[in-house]
Amino acid sequence: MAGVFFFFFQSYNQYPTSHSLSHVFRSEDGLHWAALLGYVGERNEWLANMQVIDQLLLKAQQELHFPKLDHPPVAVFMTRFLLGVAMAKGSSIL
Amino acid sequence: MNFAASKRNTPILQALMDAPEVNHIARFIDRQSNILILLVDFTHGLVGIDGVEVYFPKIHCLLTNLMEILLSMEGLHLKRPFKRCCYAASQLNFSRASTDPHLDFMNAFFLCCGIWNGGRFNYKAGGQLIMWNLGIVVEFPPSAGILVPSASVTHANIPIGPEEQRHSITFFTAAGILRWYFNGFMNDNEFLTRASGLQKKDWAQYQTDLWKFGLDMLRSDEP
Repeated sequence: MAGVFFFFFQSYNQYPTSHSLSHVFRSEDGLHWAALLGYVGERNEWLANMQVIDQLLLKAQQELHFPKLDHPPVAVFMTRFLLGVAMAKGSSIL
Repeated sequence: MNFAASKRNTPILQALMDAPEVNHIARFIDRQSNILILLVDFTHGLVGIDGVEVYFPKIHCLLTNLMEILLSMEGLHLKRPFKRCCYAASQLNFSRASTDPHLDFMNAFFLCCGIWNGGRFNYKAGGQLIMWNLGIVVEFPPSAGILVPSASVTHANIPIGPEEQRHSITFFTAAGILRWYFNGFMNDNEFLTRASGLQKKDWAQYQTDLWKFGLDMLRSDEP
């Protein structure tokens, strides 16, 4: 039980407990340069939503497949190959 | 989704983008970027909307109108990426998302892109957003968002711990779409090929003065 509580406590503390995080960074001439956005609505609802999104993204990550990313890009291989050939010929292209 | 993806990936990505929770994030970025901020007291729940603040209303207006124009154009068959969100595109970064210092050159220099991050990581120890030009480092807790002109402000993330996870979703509208629109629905080369001398002169002046337009878009109307 203590372990469960500890896990819950750890998970709960992943998120800040401070008040609204919203903050605007702006220069003196009135330009808004950046805005940090806090939470909106009920906190429990918001956190539950975040956990669902975490799960959705993890699931999508596991299911998505990008073959080109799983293998060395052909362009990199060809570049290195051509550089090797050039160096073997004595060119000083580097 | 408007870009082609593999047969395997298309339904996965579409399901993700159609998920109400992900649309909630898109709406969070959109609404917070233009309408109001709800001040929330976490010990007492929602306390009211007395903290109304407008961040980038002109940019939001521009992007919203642009989206409506594009979506209403016959022949393009475009779909809105997210319901009720002004941004035309988004990027999903999985698992251990972090970046080296960079500028997003494909964005217009004055457009703010929205970045949301989630996952399980200690935001005090990693994930902070560094904005080099502004000289600030911002704690970026999971489930928070940030709006930043990503083409003008060099930004990066501090990496997270080895056992942690950080996802991010970025929302943006490419500058090319704006150029295409302002050129009368053609790219720069096409426009310059077809334009008269006077039009080319006006176009060059418009390019020269664009920075003024951009600064005005970022400016707050508050006193």
